[in-house]
Amino acid sequence: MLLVVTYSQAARTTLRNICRTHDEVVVRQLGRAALFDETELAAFLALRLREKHDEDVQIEQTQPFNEFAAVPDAVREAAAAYEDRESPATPYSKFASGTDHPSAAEMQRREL
Amino acid sequence: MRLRLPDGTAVEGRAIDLASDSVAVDADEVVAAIRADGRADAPGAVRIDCSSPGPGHDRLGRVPVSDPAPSRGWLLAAVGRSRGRRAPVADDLDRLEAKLAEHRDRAAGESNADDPERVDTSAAALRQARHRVAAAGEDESRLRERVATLRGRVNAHRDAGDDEATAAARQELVEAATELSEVETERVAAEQRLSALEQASRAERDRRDARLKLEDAVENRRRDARAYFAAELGAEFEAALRDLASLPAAATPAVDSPPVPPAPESDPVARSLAAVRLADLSAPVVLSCGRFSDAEAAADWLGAPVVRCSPSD
Repeated sequence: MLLVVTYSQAARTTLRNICRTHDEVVVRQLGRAALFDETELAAFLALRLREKHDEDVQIEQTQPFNEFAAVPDAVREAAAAYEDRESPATPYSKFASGTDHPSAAEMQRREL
Repeated sequence: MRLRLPDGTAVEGRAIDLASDSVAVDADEVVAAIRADGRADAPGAVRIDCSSPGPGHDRLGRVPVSDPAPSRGWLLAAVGRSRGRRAPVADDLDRLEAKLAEHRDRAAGESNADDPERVDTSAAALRQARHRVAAAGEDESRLRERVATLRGRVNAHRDAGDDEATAAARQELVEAATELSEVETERVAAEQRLSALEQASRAERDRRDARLKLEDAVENRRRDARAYFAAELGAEFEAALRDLASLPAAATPAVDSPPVPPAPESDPVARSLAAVRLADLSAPVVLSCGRFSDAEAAADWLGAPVVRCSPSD
């Protein structure tokens, strides 16, 4: 999908107008941003927005997140184990220390 | 009004005091009896003949009110309703609330339906579908590598002129290639299933998004209505609060009341009482707070019929 984020009042207004008149390409509108379908029409609308508002418009191409393909087992397991923790007040650093779960710093260093 | 106690005794009057009696009648029971609306009641229950509770009684029919920290706006909106007043946004609010109720009914109907056509878009189903895609993809790349290795081995053996080894390697290659094409088919099927699920869950999210927007709109109109009544009735409300503060202290204070009563504007009970005084209630108000010396005094000040119960704990 195309993620379109606006950074000015004017760009936001144009984005809203596009969303109103072309709801067939809009997957979701979220305030200053919108997710468009991955069609040429959506790209055309996003590009028109950029032509008009230049650097006030950010366009990203997104893809569905598959944690089983993109994320190492250890990270997935750590997330599940931490959300299942006994005491809600335990911070992750304390939870992970002395276990096989990766530390936040380690995860920060490693790219997906 | 006329109230019949579980033991059969009947009490009559505009102000009924059950607090001093030895009979332990819970305020909740009295409220339930008022709202029972003449329906057949269980033997041994409190029975009450009185005007039926009108608008506003749902919030103001008992003090302390059901909301532990009733806001001015919440109370005054109930006062407005009891007086038959409508906020300017009321029509809009009714329309949005009806639409929201429709949305909720539809959602409830859909989740109950045992429709075999219905796609399971639960997080668990999606997770499983993603897992299958990832697993099939891994199998496929592993097998693809193996096929490439075996192909190299076949060529090497053939170049070396080793017919026996070539045949064996070729056999292995055929097996691996067959397996690869099976896994490929599986991966494609898993991807199709996942994308169908994603489509379905997108539709489900559209519905949720629409519902959230409606909920926001309803909440905004309600806020507008509360602000409207707070502005319209604010002065009267302040006056009632001041008047309440000037009353002599209650003869029977609530057991857990602090030694120094809180300022009336921050005391939820005082605010509720002031709202009841402003409201136009014909059905009795059930008090379980020790603010007035007796039910008579309470009924006089509140301008509504009163049933006074012992302070509940």
